[in-house]
Amino acid sequence: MDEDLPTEFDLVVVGTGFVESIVAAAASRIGKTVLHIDPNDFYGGTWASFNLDALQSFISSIAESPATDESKQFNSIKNASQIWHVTTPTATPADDAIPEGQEATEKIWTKENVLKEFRRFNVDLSPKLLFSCGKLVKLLISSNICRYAEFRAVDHVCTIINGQTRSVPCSRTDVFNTKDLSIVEKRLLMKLLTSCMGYDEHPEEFKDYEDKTFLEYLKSVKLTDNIIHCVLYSISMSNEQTSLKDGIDNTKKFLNSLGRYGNTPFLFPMYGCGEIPQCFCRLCAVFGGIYCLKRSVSNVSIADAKVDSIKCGNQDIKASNIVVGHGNILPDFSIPAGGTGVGKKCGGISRAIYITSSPLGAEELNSSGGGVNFLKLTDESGTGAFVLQLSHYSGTCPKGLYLIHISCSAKSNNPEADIKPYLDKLLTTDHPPAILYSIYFTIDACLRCTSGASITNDSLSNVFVCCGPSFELDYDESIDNAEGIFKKIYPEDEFLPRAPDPEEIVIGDEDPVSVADDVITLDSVKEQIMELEAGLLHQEDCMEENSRNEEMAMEVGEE
Amino acid sequence: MASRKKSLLKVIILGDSSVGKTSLMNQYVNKRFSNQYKATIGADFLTKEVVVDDRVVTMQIWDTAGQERFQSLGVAFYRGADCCVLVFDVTAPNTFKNLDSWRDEFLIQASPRDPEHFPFVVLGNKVDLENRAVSQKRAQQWCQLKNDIPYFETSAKEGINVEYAFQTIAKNALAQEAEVELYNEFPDQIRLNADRNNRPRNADNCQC
Amino acid sequence: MHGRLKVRTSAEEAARKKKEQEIKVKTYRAGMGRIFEKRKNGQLDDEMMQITGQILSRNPDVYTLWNIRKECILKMAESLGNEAKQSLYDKDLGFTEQCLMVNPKSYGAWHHRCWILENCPTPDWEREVALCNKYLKLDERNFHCWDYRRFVVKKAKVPAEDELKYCTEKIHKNFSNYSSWHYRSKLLPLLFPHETSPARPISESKLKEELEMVLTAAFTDPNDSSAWFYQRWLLGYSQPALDIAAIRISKNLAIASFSKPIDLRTCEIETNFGFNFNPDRWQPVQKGNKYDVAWIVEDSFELGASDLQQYIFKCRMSDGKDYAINLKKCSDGFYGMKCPKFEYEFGAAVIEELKNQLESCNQLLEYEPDSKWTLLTASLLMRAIDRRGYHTKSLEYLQKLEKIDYLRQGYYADLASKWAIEKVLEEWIEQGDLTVAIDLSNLNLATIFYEQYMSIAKIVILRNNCLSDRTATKFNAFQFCENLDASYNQFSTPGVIPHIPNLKVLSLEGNKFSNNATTRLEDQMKNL
Repeated sequence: MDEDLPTEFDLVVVGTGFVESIVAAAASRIGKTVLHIDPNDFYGGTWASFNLDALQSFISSIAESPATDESKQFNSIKNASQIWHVTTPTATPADDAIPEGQEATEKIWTKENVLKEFRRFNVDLSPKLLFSCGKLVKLLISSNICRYAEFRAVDHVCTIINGQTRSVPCSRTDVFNTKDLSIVEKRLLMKLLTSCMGYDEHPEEFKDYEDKTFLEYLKSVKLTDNIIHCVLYSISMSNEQTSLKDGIDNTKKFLNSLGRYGNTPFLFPMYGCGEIPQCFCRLCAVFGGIYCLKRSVSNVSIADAKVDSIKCGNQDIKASNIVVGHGNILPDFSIPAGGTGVGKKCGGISRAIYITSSPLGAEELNSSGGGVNFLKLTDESGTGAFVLQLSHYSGTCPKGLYLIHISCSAKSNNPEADIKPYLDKLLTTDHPPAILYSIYFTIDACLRCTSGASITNDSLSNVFVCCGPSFELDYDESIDNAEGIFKKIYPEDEFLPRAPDPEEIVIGDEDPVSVADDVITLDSVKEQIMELEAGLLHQEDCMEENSRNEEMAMEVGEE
Repeated sequence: MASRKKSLLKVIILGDSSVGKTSLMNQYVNKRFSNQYKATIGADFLTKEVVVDDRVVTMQIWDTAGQERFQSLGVAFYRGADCCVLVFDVTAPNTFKNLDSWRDEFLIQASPRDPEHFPFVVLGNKVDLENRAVSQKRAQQWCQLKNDIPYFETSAKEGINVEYAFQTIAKNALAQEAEVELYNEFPDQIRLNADRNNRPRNADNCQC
Repeated sequence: MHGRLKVRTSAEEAARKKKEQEIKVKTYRAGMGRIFEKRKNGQLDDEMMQITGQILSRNPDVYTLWNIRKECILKMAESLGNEAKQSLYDKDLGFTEQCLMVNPKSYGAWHHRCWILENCPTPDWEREVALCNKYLKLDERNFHCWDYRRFVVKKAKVPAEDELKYCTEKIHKNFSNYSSWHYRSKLLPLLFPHETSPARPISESKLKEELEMVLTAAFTDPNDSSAWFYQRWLLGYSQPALDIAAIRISKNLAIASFSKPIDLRTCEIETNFGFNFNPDRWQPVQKGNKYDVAWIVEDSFELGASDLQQYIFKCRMSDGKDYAINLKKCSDGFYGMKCPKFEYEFGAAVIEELKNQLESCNQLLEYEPDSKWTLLTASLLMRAIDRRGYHTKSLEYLQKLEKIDYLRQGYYADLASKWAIEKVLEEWIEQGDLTVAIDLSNLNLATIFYEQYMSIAKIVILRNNCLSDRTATKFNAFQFCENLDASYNQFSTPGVIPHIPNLKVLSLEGNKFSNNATTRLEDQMKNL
């Protein structure tokens, strides 16, 4: 049933990572013909999520071949290692000896029974969180791609204070409920957050601290150490050197995303971040983009400093432009073309993934089996690490197990050593996680970021290389990267305008009003929608609620 | 939202290219048929409100958007399906043979909690054509072997059996949903929405 | 390129929507027409249920249709056995739930649900509680659902403990919620009644916890008023309990006044000294009021006939309870008064908690000396701790508030007036002689409170305050006043001072009357 591909495209995209998928979707959306291929048999490249089985094979395949292996199509991940910390004990209680229903609390996890559930895992190579009002959420909404995904609100933003893992009170509700703060501290924290939000309206409040650090400002407003810790490290994700302006901007970003969904400012995609590139790919496909996994480019022909066509399978395919994803290289093509030239270097991330049988932190941080918890750790040199703990509610691991992701800037070729100080922090808390299995690897920078800007002189003018994941919590830099590439190729066109809802799409030539309007039958009464008064009623309802509240106010007094 | 399962059913349609998946959807939802395109373009998902046992539910029928053409449907497509419709072309025996692999693919990718009882429905499409190559009996036998999957012979072009088939699909999906709800597998899922009404009313941010 | 996606333009889309809408309107009309036709013909059948159902499921607020459904169900149920009847009702129960999904705040659907449950043979109340849980999870401020919850919880006999627990969870989730604080104020008195005093809603130990919780809410978000209302309720700063305020009977006039406005004509009065009051003869002091704090009867009373140890005036009020007061006999009749309950008197543990809270407020005032709500809370707390001891200080805070919170100046001024009057009134009542003047001069009063207690006073001095025309109606209560000094205030309309039958001296100099008005005023004075 293998058909041939069309032989001419406006855009060929190689690799289905986050940035490539956005470019593909954006091009398809404005009517360009797009061929989107990936040498892998899965979507996402460096941004993929795997079930446990696939993850193990993936890591082994990298671990077994040298990182310099030029023949490999996929080379953005290196220094990979994995180890099981549990073996098969000789006398484990048999699975069926455990009464039903008590599984979650009493199950003794062995390698075998973890692996038995491999399909319940969706383990991200590049886990991220979305700010509820952040760039990606806005893009998903404005482009109408949001309909392809579901999310879970992050349950707790955590911090470690004196060896204790605690939930950082970030919302009003949290501040109200926390037992860690006195009521005066509560008031002071709320007041600080309010004044940070009002920074632009009342800059005079901060006048004396303009060229000082955020920490100095926090100290000046007589906050207790507790609050300073929460605000500095967790809410603004800053450190001792962060300037007032940056500290406040970060705090505002955090606060602006509060109160939209759930109790924290963050969202995590259900089933893992690997879903996100696929959402963009679906949009591309809906607008006619053609998808081919397990397809790589075996040759390219170059004319006039441009790639004229590529060889894909046994077909020669002409392409006006080519976008190459992180971890993909074209054959005979060692000199990549210019990306957008903005932002920091991508990649350079040391990663750790742990499967644990108990979560980090006490029960109240992990109620009813835990949700998604986020922890920002700092270190002396500055950038710190992002720690993400996922439970089965995120659709990424089986019930009773947890995934803990740690990401930090790579300082060496030994991700385990880079991660160790952070892991130690987790392991020395009051409720350390019990690790069953661990993986370490390094996410490399893309070719362009690795080789630097100097080589772009020799570049092919119609080839664009996408960056890999950056060391950032959300996707801001990656979206900029994608939009930048899109704008270079199609400077005149709009970047991902809102996709129409299915009912706005014309199928065939006719107007698809479903019921013939001259026949009114009982059936048509049944099927038609009545929302005539809905708008009006809503208004009345609001008014009613107000007056009701007033009524209530008086009523309270009567007992 | 906690009540998503209650009122929204996700139905996905699988099968080889050009067996008529998109046409079936369109016939059912829009009462339209068009011969004019070959591969699926512009088909995303269609929604239709159906009444099952006095309950109004919204059925969301997801097309493959053509990604099946080169066997490149991503796992994201399968997430959270309440029912899977397998379609073949009664005039193309290969498309019937491939039902096995589509069914397996679904069970692997979607990994439903109870694969034995997950609701599938099989549609043998294009019965309006004369060059039929897969007999009804053969198709029914296959369906019986696979835990008694309901089988319908349809014509998207003529609108034969389409309404009835989808009604069954909704009914079976809903029956499944009643059980799934007990598990309450992923409560509190969030759908992003441009609509401000979606915003929770307890605007709980710190801009006090 | 073939097969390229065609997307409707916004104009096309609008036109399509309009067309769709037109069809909807048409079908709606057709449906409604059919419904009324069927109703006229008495066809209360399955089809009727279907059509009304179709419309209601889209728009559950068409009241008439719910009523038609009720008629239908009653009619259809007539011929059914209990089981079949129940399934008929159950089906409709399922239907209302569908409607609630469309609009969880539909009065019609919630009411219809109540009706079904009250009419069906075997209502499942537990199920209804679960339904409330579900809807309150979607929106914890849906007061329709809170109302419904109270209804079904009672029927399901859910223990109040469980409900309190539920309520607490909801507050922890979002404390900005009138309904759940309100519900709390209903549940706590059942679960934690006060150890000794029936007038106090909840026990001391529970009160301490509640005060802590509500102050936490207030500190977290001072702009949320729901917590404030609850705090006031806890501290007893709410409407006073119903009681007799004062009684005076002279030979041609009797007055009875009460802590709250009542309709005395519906009350039964009994005395042990032979006076019978015909309810119909009571008149409110403010003409035309149905409810008033003070009521008079003009009649001739035979004084001095009896000579008893105690003169008891008893009144059975609309709450069915008897309220009594001991009267004293004096030269020109009988009189009696009760000191109003200004605040609760708390036990040591609660006082301790209140002191802690005051301490927290004071700490905050060091950081933010101008914090409005902290100042107000602090002054309320001070009065709850030791009203007399903190009298001056709490009034100082209010004065400060009048300056820094200009928009609510009037509110603070009224509150300050109230507190100032309380002090004087208390002292006056304690000394017990109603011929002694009640001296409210120089208190910056913006208005008058407790006027019903002053209704028996002979001399009322209001000199040098800020009273204006709006408070003049309060003078209606001063029925026995012979000497009213309202000089040096802000009155500006001559006729505004109401007629007081016994008044002999009225001082109004130093007010804001125009020259012209003064002349007319003099005329009024002459008439005294």
